[in-house]
Amino acid sequence: MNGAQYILHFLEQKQVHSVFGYPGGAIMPLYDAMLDSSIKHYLARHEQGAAFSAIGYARSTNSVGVCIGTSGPGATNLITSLADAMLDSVPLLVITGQVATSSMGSDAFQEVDVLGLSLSVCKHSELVTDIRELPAALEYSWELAQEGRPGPILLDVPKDVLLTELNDTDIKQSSGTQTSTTSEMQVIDGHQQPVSEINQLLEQAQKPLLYVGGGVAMAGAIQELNDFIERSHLPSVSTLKGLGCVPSAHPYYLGMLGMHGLPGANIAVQECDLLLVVGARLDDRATGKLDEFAPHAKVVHVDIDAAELGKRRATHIAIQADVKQILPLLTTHQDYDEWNAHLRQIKAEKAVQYSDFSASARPDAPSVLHCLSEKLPKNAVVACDVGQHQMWVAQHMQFTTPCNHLTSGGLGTMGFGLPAAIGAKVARPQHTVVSVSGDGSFMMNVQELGTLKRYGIPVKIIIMDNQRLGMVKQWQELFHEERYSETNLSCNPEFCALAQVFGLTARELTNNNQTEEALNWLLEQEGAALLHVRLDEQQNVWPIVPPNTANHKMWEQPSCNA
Amino acid sequence: MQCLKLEVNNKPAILERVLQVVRYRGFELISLQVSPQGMDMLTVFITVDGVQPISKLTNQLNKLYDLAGIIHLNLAQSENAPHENAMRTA
Ligand SMILES: Cc1ncc(C[n+]2csc(CCOP(=O)(O)OP(=O)(O)O)c2C)c(N)n1
Repeated sequence: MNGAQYILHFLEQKQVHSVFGYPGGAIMPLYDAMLDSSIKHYLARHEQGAAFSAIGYARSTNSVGVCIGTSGPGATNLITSLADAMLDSVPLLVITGQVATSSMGSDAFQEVDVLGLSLSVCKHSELVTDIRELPAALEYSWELAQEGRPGPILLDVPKDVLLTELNDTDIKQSSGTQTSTTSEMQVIDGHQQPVSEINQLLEQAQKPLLYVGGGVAMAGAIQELNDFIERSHLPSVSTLKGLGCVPSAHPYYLGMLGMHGLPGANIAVQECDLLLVVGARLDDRATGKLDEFAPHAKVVHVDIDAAELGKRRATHIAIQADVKQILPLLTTHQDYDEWNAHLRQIKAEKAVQYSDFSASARPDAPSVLHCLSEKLPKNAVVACDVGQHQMWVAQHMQFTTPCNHLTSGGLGTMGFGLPAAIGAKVARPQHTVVSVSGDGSFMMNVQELGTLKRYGIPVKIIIMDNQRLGMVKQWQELFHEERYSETNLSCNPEFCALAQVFGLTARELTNNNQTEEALNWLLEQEGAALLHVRLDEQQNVWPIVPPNTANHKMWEQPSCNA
Repeated sequence: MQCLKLEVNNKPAILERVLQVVRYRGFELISLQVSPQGMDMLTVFITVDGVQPISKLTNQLNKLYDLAGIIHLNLAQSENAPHENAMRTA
């Protein structure tokens, strides 16, 4: 068995059925070996697309996604996706071919210092120059991708190593030191602050609040979280990536916080006297102006990554731990009735009014997405791109787990949606997968329509077309005196015609009163289909917390726009 | 100024990794001293300056896969016998 064959053998052992990638010179031995392997390879049309598909696969299943690329341009095309996976803590194993060891360091054709490039966008990376190190490198990369806080691991393998025969006798053991912290509980900063202290704080608090991040689902702790909410009656807010952990209809749940959070959620954070942060990193889009974030609260922070504890906000109690192990230990005898009633009232006052689709008007983006959400089965996956439509998805659609909501949170990468949806559909063929894009973002990885066509992958695409780089336009309007610089996209191609040449069925939605019918049409299509929604370019995302402003000072929709 | 003693696997790119974390997390490198330790390890002493508490740096360095241990050498103590705060051992 040579190195290339060993890699595929390894992936088979790990029960990997599908990988995403793009071939080229240095990685050819691996593609050659693929012809004799049970692993299904999906050829994307750009390495960035391949890696986003691997991310979609990983996030929709809470497992490792695998992506393959060649040296040089293949590897550089992967960088954005690696950064995306890094910031959103997605477990990936990325294998790149490298020029042969004999030519390395000579500026050979398609040689680029991939190890050097990878350092700031990977959890770990390794250049495997000796075939005897390959088995151990694969093994610990696989573990490391998932362990603790997950992330992308890159293995750069020179072509000659892929071609070298591997003898069982000379397989080297890993020389790496197992350093990452696993799920075992560890108290930070030398303070002996056991869980009972958290329970004491819960007992004393009048206005406690649970802050739910994406780490809860990654830890497989959704059940533990909801059990805790049931027994404690704690109200909760969610980050973008935590959406789906707490059912949106739950009486104590206030929705997403942050720059485009719901008023109830932001106000609750600003008023609470105890903030219990679980599986989250208090990122700036969620906290708003940090100095004024949760000004009355003692902060308890539980996360698997010690480096996140106290990174942005000082904590009262910080525990590096698996939230799945901590949540069952939390209890309180209080019922917080008054606090919950107060929050429930704010939530009701600020509830969004959706269109009943009777009026003839341009489609209303929040209502379209809300209606879509009602029509989708509970186990459907929604991937989105970045911009206004992404925030509308987060605000107006409901999810039962973050695995069903694929959104580029940390990096905010336009072009994420379509390839991520492809990865999700490959991973979960029995479930409906919808990709919601903006007209700007859609064009960033539009070539992946070719992947849909090649494999007949029945992803449903919705383009929320405002003929603008809408989110940037919104900022120009609100914060740059309406000076619209390079955000007009009225030159867009005819999206339906574009989809049709790739073999998709397509139609437009131009009037609000056709919303239901158009969405029914989309979901009834057997194959891949595209719905082109023509929005009013004036529509903005509300509320919005202006930059460097406390979250409770959000701007709400001006009534003239209502 | 703070001094850290790192024990790392002698792997390609390990120094780049350490220096990258130092720079990205907002610390200035004042001095660097590297010496081999046994067959496969290196001992790295770094002195850094920064406005953030040193734990912001050590917490991030701790995440490097090839790092086996960090000791924070407290320079405030007597120079002959630096006080060693074990941040982590392998
Ligand atoms: C790769 C990349 N480039 C630039 C940006 C900056 N950016 C954020 S939102 C946005 C506009 C997105 O427009 P569109 O996809 O049409 O979505 P809309 O906001 O109109 O819903 C831009 C340019 C980004 N997030 N990602």
